[in-house]
Amino acid sequence: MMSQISTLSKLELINLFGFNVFRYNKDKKAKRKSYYLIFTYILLIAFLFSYVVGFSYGLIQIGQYSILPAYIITIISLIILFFDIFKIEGVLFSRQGYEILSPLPIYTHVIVISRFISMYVENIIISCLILLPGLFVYGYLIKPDLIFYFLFLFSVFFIPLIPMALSIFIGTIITGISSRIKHKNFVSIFLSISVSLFIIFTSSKFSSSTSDITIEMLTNLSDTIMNILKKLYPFAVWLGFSIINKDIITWFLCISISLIIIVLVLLIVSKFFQIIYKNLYSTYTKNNYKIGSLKKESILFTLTMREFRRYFSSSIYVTNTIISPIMALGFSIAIYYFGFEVIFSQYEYHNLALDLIPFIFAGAFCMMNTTATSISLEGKNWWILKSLPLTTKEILDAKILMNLILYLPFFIVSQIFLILALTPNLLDLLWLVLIPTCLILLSCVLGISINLKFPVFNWKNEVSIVKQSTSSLFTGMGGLFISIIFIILLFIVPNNYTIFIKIAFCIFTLIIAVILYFKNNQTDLKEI
Amino acid sequence: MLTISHLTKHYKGSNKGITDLSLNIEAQDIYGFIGHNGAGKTTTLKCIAGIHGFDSGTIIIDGIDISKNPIEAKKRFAYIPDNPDLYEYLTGIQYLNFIADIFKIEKEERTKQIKNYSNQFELTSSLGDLISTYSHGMKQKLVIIAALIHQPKLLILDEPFVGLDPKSTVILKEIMNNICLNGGAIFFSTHILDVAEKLCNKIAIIKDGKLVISTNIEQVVNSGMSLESMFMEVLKDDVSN
Repeated sequence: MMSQISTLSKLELINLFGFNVFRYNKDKKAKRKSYYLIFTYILLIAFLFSYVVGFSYGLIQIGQYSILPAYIITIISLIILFFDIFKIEGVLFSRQGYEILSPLPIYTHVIVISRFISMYVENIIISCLILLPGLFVYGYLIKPDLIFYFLFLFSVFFIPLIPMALSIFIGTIITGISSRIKHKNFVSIFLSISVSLFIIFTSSKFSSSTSDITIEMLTNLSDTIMNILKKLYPFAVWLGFSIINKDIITWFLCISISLIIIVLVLLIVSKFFQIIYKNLYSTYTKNNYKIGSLKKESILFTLTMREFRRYFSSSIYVTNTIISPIMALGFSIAIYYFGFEVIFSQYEYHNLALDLIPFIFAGAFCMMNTTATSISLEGKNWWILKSLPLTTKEILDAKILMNLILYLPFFIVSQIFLILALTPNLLDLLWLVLIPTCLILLSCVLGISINLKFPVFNWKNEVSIVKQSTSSLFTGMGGLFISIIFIILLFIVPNNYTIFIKIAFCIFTLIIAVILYFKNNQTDLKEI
Repeated sequence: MLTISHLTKHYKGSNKGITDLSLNIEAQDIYGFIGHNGAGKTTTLKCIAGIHGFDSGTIIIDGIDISKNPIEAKKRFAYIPDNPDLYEYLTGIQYLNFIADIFKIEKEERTKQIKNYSNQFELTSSLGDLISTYSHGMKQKLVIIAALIHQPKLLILDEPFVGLDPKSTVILKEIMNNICLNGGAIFFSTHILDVAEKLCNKIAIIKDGKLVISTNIEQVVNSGMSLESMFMEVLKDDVSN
């Protein structure tokens, strides 16, 4: 069995982050695209490093170094929990490969374990990216002894286990429930989004409790933060303090608990794997169709409907992109219920809130849009559109239109909440609507541009495209980056000139959007 | 109907592709395209269908250059791939309606064509089900129906008989003959030399990206050789060289 696990794990890991394809691909153009992806990841890692170094340094400077390990463990765990829930159906229960393996003399739990190992290795890498810079800062400033380093470094192999166990457990339940229902995708989408919103809400509720901080709490900051972390994830506190206090017994107990939990979860999943898999991929056929009256639709309508059907056929595509407008809606609801004065009161420039809100709202919408991966997700079907008498414009217009129509109800409802909350005058109302509209338009077109530049058609599962492709990363970063630049400008310029910033933003985004739109439509799709 | 002149296409980072290929397919031809695995058959067909670009040469379909006016050219033919990778999230009828909308086929005409071909291929009752539930053969039939509903003048098929049951194979051959009788043409690749010999009036053999033989079936038969032995001779020449 161990040799089977080893063989299968190697198979799963050989193309981790697309390494094997990169290694053997002789296509220079494809290799160049891989370099862009590597560059994107390096940028993201640099941001992550800066953030971790920043907060680690900050915590140590205010004398709160004892809570740093617990804090880092909590962040790592939340990230793994949030992102892994969306991966379970596409990775653990992936159809790809299973149909080749199932006729072979391989145990089911070997397949489960090997897929778990591939997720685990990815999570170890993520853990290291967060833990190591924090450890570096701690070591540089505090100069702990060797036992500290040993305990902290060795913990990196165990920190992902409990969040992974939780995400596998929850993800399996979601997959299991949805697999038994005819409209599997909708159920899976609804449950996945509900769980992830719960995680976001719960963790933000704990962090937002800092708004209730009293003087006494401030003087006892480490206790305050510790209480928050204990409520959120007590395991992180136990493990973190065992490392700080060099309490090897507690440390050993913590890693044993995490090992026992993950083993139990994997055993349960293995037991039910085949039942869930069978139900997940079973299909309903009526086999009783009679041709009745057929309707003729325009090319744009038929292409856009096809985009919608493609979108809703994939729970991974939906759950990873619908979060953006949901967060924008959540933001506007929060403004309405809590009032923007409360939310922005901690900022010195709270009178800028009315100016900031449209940009923050716009940025939230653009974090993950559908166009960024819509071309790659054509996958093996790309030949159909290329062989039909369709112009590039017709094909790409449908992708943009689908994204815009999808966002429209969220946009309208969010605007209603914002208008009720802010009661803007006519000019402020104009900016409230215009600024996000301009950025959403740009983001949709930018997503197409970037996906045309970095298409990937030979993917194994949609997770690698929707979450990990150059196109999705660049597009998300692009929209946010533009928003942030103009927010910074709002802070810099005198109040009288903020109107010019807004005008410049709208003109800039619209001009870029138009240029990119026309450029995209010139693309010869034969070369893509 | 289809004129390919000095077509060259090589894949980047590889010496595979096609080199200086020229072919002429006239109306009423059933043209068989034969070659070993990796010879360049699918590459040629995909260049004609507008799926791949090519390095040099011209492809003229019914008088229209596919490089200069791809939309008009694509209205005149239908392409059927060897592997029917279709939109699994659509039902059969949704896919057919999608294709019919692209070709702007009127309501009555599309209903008539879909009814006709889906009855012939016995696929009607499954049209309401998702394509993901179809077998390989059913997908192949669906792709053929979708190709025929806009009544193309030129049918380009890549190994069309793979995965089809015997009855559907007979039906497809009849359809191909009818298209030719009505002034159209067929260009298809195949490994089944018997079919090519019986069905085609012309054949071409491609080897390592180059056209080695282009002739009438009549000449092959009159030479006393079978198509199979001719094909083996062509391959043998390569081995002995």
